[in-house]
Amino acid sequence: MTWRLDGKDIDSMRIRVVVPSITEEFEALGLEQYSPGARPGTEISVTLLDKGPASIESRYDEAVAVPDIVRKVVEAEKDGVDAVIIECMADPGLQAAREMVSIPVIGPAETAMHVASMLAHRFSLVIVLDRRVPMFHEHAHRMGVAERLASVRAVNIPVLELGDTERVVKALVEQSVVAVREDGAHLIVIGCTGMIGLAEVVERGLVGQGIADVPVIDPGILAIKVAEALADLGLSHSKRTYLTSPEKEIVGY
Amino acid sequence: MKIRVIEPVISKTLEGTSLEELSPIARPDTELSAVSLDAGPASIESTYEAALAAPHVVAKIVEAQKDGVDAVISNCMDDPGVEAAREWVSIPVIGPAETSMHIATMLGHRFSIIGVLEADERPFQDHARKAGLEDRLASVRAINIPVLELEDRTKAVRALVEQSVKAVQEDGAHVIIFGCTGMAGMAQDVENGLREQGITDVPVIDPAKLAFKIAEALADMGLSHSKRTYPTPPEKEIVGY
Repeated sequence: MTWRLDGKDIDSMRIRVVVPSITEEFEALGLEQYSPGARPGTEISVTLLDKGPASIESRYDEAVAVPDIVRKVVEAEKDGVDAVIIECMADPGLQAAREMVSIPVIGPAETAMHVASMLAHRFSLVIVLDRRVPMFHEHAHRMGVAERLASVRAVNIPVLELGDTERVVKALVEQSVVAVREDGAHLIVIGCTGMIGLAEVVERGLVGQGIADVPVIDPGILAIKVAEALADLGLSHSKRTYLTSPEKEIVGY
Repeated sequence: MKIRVIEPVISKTLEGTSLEELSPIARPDTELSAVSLDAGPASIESTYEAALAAPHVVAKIVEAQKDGVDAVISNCMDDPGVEAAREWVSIPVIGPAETSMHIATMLGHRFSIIGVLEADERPFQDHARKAGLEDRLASVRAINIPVLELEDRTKAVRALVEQSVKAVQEDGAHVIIFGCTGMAGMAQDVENGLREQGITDVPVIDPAKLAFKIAEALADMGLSHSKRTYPTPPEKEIVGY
């Protein structure tokens, strides 16, 4: 029997994936897609929003998703889970949620960009829609890794049509090749957690185009692995950075 | 999964220390090994000593890949030989400094590194600058205890708490990173020490342990460094290695 630093049994861990969407089929899908990334002993649970958008494709969608995301993260902590993942590459509500809990809250974009910077000199994000390109540059600036971001390219397939895997993979490979050849990317980060589970097939696609030296990060799976690592270490965000929000009257929440 | 810790020093005792500190947090399916160098310094406390260690660290990492190891750690906060080794192997090579700084940036607005000697400031600032995280580095402080004297844990913890408190109160640190992997296993004690001083909101990163968990995570995903960033060196005559 091995033990985590906080004294809990390392063989049992609970991670909650908060899917910032009201689309019901995403719950079962999330469970199916995230479970293979978890190690034996890690229990994944998925929760959707009660209020909010069907998918996040704009700043407005983010704004209307965030209040319920925070609520779901707070609920997860009350349920005794060890770490939470906000399952969207916009990292919506990440910092607000950290103010309200002490368990690790993982943002797939933040995590992927930092790990990408550890693994390569420059990386590109291949995202869903062109309209979100500025947001990713902003994220990279905030994290201090802007000069490592070679480019942000888009497959231009709406989130709710990502179920067409063949079309998505073809577009991901196409844009990744362009990112490598034209933008100088040394690593590709898949830019939407809705494209989970495709890293290996995209890597194979790149190899098929003669590019054998470019790793592909699947941010959803990476988020699970980093959540496990932090929970093992009993490590979470600094409450000095993310101070608990002061109590006051708030109407409607 | 096989993870190997490369102790970039000739002292064999560190192998045992790593196994002792890391085994309790290893996943049940992780097979952990530790090796020290055949040639090199007794400890790394200068850029010179890191330079002497690097060729032998690379050799041990190449050997690890041949042995079928899934990920390796160069177990020193100067990340000796990490980038050179990445050029030679395709398995993940983890540098505790690089890893700690990136994760610290995810966990807090600003971090301080508490190293062993005052001379650590320059290399840590250089590492932070290279990682692009310079403006997140609140300060580098030193406990002024040589690496080989860290075995006196009570003394080390006391000094770490003292400097961590200053880093928080005077330099504005929100996260503390230990500046030496020889401080492995002291994070809990230092967090307790901070709490006794009324500081309950500052996580303490133990880079040796973090590097190990991130090694497991990357190996799990089959994710490693980009060989486009770290291409294999050209073949040529090299004497003595």
